[in-house]
Amino acid sequence: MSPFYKNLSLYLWMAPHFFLVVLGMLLYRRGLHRTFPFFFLYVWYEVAEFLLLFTISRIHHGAGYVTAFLVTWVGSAALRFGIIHEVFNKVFSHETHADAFSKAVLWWVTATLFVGAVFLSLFATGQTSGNLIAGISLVGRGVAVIQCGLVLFLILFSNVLGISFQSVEFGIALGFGIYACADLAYFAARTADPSLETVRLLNLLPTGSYHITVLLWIGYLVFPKRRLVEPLQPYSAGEVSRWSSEMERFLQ
Amino acid sequence: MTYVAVYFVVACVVASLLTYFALNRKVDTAGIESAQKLMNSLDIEAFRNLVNPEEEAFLQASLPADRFKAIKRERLWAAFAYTRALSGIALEFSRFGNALSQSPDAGMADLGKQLSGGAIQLRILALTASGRLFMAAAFPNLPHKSPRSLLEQYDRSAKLLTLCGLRERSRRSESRVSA
Repeated sequence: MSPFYKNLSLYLWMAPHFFLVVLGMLLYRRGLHRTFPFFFLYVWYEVAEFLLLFTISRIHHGAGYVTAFLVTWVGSAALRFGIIHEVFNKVFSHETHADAFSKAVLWWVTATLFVGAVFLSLFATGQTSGNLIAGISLVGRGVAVIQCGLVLFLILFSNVLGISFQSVEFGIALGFGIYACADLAYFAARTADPSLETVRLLNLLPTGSYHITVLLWIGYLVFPKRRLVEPLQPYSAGEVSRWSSEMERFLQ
Repeated sequence: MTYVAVYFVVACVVASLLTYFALNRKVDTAGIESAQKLMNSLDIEAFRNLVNPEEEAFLQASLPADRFKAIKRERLWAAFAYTRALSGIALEFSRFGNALSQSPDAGMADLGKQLSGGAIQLRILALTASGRLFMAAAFPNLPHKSPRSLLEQYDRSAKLLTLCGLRERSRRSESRVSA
């Protein structure tokens, strides 16, 4: 393993969590922990998870690390589902007319994606070694399929209905979407039991995309898109001149 | 390996779509005149006639069966085109309502919220009516439901838009007087 790769992978593992601390503090300072409780919890959960895994990796490698990774990964995946649901509720809760309809559609989409992910895991797996990593990758790929689909559906559906996203909501959804896409590609490649060199390269994919995701979240929080409003149409030149001649007439 | 490639392609396509949406977020515009112009562009009375069940019953009674079937199909295709146009207008109304809901004038902001909610409802109804009319036009022998709720929702949105227009006009005249 080259020192460059070692430093890069260490940086990509550590840096997003440092930025997550910044994000967590920003969310708290802006009172967004009340608006997005799941997201706030997720941010600090990820930081705690990193500290735990980093400490374990420094003490000893092996079964202990794998167990801790697995347990925390399940929690993280569950929280991500919670956040997608939270953003969905936030976007559609303002729209009382669309709320019931959108919830019904979301339920059906989630159910379809779940069945699709299970179906793909059973019938579209290709050659796998059958070891623990391949098994985890299979589950991870299924989770990524569902999350990718949900985020894409959320953005497409709100676009179709003409529901406008606030910047922070859109940023959260976009970040998770991009991260889920990277996860999908990563877990799909891991199921094929690749060589050690390929695994090393592949490991940079989720960590790199997570880094981008965290920066995206901070970006959308710190530099929200200015209100998506154009001013009401100004008075036309004709109106102003008519108004001015009326005024002149009045003053005479 | 083929499966891996497929998943890779799917992941890339989804990521590209998300990036596209992020880069092309539309600016909601607030211009009452343009919204009213858009609403007037649709001949809603013609649409009402096209989907009027009584008119259809009259045609059925006065025309031979094969002629009626052909005319019914043509009327349904025309109604389908109207609902598609209405669906596009609803989308613009929704954007307009969203923009208006950010107005510093509390009354206008409230009207904007109502307009945006109504527009979303109108869009949902227009999309479902489009589907129904498409099916009815493809299979004219099957019974079909008149999109009455769509027309009712359109009337509600039109009233709200007129109210917005009146409020905006009075706001302008108030600002003229105060100036």
